Amino acid sequence: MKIFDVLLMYNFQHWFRKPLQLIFLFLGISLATTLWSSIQLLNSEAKKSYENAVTIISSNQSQLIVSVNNDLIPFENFAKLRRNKWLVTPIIEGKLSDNKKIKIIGVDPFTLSQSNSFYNSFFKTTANNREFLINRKVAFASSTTIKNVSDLDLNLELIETDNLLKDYLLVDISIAEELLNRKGKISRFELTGAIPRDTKILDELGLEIKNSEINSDLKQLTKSFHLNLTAFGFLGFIVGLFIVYSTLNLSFEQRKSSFNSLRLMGISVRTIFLSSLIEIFFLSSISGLLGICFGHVLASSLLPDVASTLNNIYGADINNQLSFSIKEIFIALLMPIIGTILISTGFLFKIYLSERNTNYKHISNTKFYYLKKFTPILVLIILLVITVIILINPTELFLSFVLIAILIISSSILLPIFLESVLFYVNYRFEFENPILKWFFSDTLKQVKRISLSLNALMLSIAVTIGVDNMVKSFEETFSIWLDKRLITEMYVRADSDDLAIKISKEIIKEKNVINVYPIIETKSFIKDTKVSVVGFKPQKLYFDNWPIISKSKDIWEKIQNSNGILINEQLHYKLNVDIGDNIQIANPSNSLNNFNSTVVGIYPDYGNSIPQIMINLNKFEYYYSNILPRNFAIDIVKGTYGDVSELIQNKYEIPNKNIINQATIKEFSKNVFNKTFTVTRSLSDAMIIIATLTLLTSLISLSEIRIINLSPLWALGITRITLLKIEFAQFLLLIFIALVFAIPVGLILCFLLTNYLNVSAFGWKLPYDFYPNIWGKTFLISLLCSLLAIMLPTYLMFKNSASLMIKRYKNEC
Amino acid sequence: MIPLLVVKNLNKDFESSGESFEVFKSLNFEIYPKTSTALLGESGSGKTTLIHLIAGLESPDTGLIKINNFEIWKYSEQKRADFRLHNIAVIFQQYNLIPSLNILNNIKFHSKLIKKFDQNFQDEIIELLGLQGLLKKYPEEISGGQQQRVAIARAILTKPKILLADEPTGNLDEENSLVVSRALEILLTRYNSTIIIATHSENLANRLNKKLLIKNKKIRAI
Ligand SMILES: Nc1ncnc2c1ncn2[C@@H]1O[C@H](COP(=O)(O)OP(=O)(O)OP(=O)(O)O)[C@@H](O)[C@H]1O
Ligand SMILES: [Mg+2]
Repeated sequence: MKIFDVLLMYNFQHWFRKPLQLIFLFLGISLATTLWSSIQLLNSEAKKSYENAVTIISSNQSQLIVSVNNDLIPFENFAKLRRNKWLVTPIIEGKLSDNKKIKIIGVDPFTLSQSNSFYNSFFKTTANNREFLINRKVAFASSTTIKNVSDLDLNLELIETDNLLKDYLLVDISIAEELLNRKGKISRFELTGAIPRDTKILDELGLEIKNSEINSDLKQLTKSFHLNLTAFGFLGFIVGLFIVYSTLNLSFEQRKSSFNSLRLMGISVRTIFLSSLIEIFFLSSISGLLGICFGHVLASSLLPDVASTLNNIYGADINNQLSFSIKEIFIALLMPIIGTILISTGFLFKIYLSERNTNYKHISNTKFYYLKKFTPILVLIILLVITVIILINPTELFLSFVLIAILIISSSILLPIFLESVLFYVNYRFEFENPILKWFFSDTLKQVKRISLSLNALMLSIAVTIGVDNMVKSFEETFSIWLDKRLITEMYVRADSDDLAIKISKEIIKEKNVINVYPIIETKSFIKDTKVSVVGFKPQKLYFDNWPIISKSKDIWEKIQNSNGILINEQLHYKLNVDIGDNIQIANPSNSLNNFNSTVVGIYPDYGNSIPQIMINLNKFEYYYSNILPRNFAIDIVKGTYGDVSELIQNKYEIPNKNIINQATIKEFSKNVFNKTFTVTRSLSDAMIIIATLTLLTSLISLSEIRIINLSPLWALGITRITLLKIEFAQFLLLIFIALVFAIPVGLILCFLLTNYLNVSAFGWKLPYDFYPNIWGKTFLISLLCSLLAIMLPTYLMFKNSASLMIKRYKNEC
Repeated sequence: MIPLLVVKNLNKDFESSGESFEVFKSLNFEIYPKTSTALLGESGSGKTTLIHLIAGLESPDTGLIKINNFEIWKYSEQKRADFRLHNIAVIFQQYNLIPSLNILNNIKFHSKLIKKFDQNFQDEIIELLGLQGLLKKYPEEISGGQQQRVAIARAILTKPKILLADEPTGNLDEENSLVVSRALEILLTRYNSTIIIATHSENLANRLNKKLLIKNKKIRAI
């Protein structure tokens, strides 16, 4: 056998002799990988779904024509549009009544062939398109979809294709009409040519052009959600690596003298270095693979929640099943391997440097001493400078994340410094006469270095939990107050036709129990080049009293009523950087010479909305956008008469039940969406505490092997093991307590960054920053309890084994 | 005169990797107060083991060890530790300093703990053993021989009833060994301690009152 093989075998033997260390190493790497890869899987699944969605709805560039009110479009309109030289192709989309999961898409192959849409390219590359044209009794679907619909009696020939998303059936438009039982009703048109100059016909038919850019909007919107997940996953990964670090640290520490002997025997440092590198690579690949498997399981279990969040908030359709390829596995594996190698660079470097190592490490290290001592301070100063620069102009999402990263890094640098300063002060301030107390504090000071990593892990995860929980709670309260104010009336009614709308606005007010009617209308327009939604409303007392406002000018309502004052939402305020008193010009789509010059008089919070919005007096709305009638009405009714009024207007005005909405229903729905949004965030922050506790546990168990050496002199003098146990316990408790106390302000700063920077850049709204000491208290106690459990096992183990271990030390070791 | 230390029928086996290895077979001896005894024997004969047994750190299989009428292996761990703390000082072969305390605090530690601290005596011993320059350093920062002298100082300062020393001059040059014997002498004459020293050094052994030799699992005076 070559020297190298012997060395490698020697390295692996270490792990077999210390099975606990091996378990911890595997645990750490696979845990870190699990979190990271599960988040990556979720993200990539969502991304695939978005990309598919883009191709499903239309090709990238094409434009759609949809109903202004989001209704179905009568088939006659197809003929009318074609007659007016509009090049369009009809598309029917809907869910199968027998199986709500299956989505039917019906297309017209003849008009479609002029378009550059996905379907057209699909048919061009599919040999079966002739059959589709002639036979018509066929449906295209993916292999899983074919399995899913096999028990339905569709009476169609199913043709397998890879190009369709799961649960989609692509059929001829006439087949779709039958399947959906929707004769003569089209979902939308797709433009296959240029837009004609005269667009009057669209208004006549109640249609509008919509760019398929909604899809890129979707990507943009969900980006922040995914960034959030990624940040969490990464943090989890780092915390998991802390376990790896403390284990590797121990294993190298224990082998240091062997390495030295090997070196003295004449084996080159390079050989030792290489064999260690291979060892790390091997161990990290195996445990990384394990982590990826767990990650897959975790991601599968989280996927439904993530999918429903994305669906509820952003309307994104996510596959409910994970799929991933060999390539992705390899990429996912790189993370634990590179991570582990990176964290072992310190030890590897030490091996490399050992060549020059002489007698006493402390004396030979004096050159590095000052460097070592001042690096953290230098890093802190640099981070501070970066922070100040970012704070000057913090609107970028990426920069918000940089701020958070800076907070995390600098607080982990500061924690050990803080601990050491506190202990140093105590040591210095109280000249302890009692030798045990004196030893206790100086030893605790030394202990900081040994367990600072796991203390950091604990501190960070508690800080993150406190920060996130505090933010969610702030948001929850704000959201519910906002919702109360925002839903100004008990009842909301939608009219399906203009006739009905006129009737409602004129007559409903005369009905019994109806106090007032507030028409609401919305259209799209532009400020400069930014798309905004323009809402018309009647400025009345109900709005004056209730509408939530963040900041306003004097006589806000008077200015809206009598001059050109408008309200803007927070998103617009941040996106276009307009403030109270600014004049803005809102485009008038029908007459570009007659744009609306307005003055901003108020800013209102608009949570959950993704687009900038303005609210203007209904008069102004009618003047600039007169062609549209209000179809939505907020109806103020006498308290407790919802049922009566609802029944009355259903019968008298023939408004279907689905168009009358109760305030309570909206509230419940919104709160549900809210809660779902934070399910994943919450469970991830809970997971962080668990990982941090595990980190603490593993590093303390690892530490206890070294720790015996520190405690045995005291035992040998005649201090009992039970006393030592108590001291040890008190020591950990003290350190953890200080670390947890430290975590609270860090968490609050994090919360501040989340509410004031991250939310603004990600969603366009700032959240009020409230304090919830009971939340911090709860997190504090829970983590203290977890840590107590985590320190109990190692101290007990140490206690149990100490007698024999201590005596062994006097005989054999040095 | 009543002996200070009585060892009777002491048996000690070690179990290692399934095999049992006998170190002592019905060992018998007595040591009288205010004497100094050299414990001799070749490497591996059991000197360290015997010191640990007497100090109550390692348990005998059978037999009796009595110090000052205190039967050390008859009592609870707590009592035994307490007895050791107040009556015995051990100088270990591996020095056994407390890593997180500096040299001065290491020297003080034991004597302070049992409230026998005596500033003048400490100054005297520090000077005698030549430790003045090291007081602010930490154990890992000083040499083996220096650590050994610190451990000796710590033990002497407790003015123990019985001092057990395992190769106290193993790492010292001739001059320093002499200094150490002088320090031990002070203990013997001024504080009426009893001293047992395991050593390979003929010179050191010759300066003591008695010599005991461990050979073939037995002990005998020479
Ligand atoms: N924990 C143990 N397990 C098994 N055997 C042991 C153990 N401790 C010591 N021994 C054995 O007991 C014998 C006596 O050991 P001890 O350390 O007492 O010798 P010593 O006389 O002090 O030697 P030295 O002069 O080299 O210090 C040795 O042969 C040793 O191998
Ligand atoms: Mg020995």
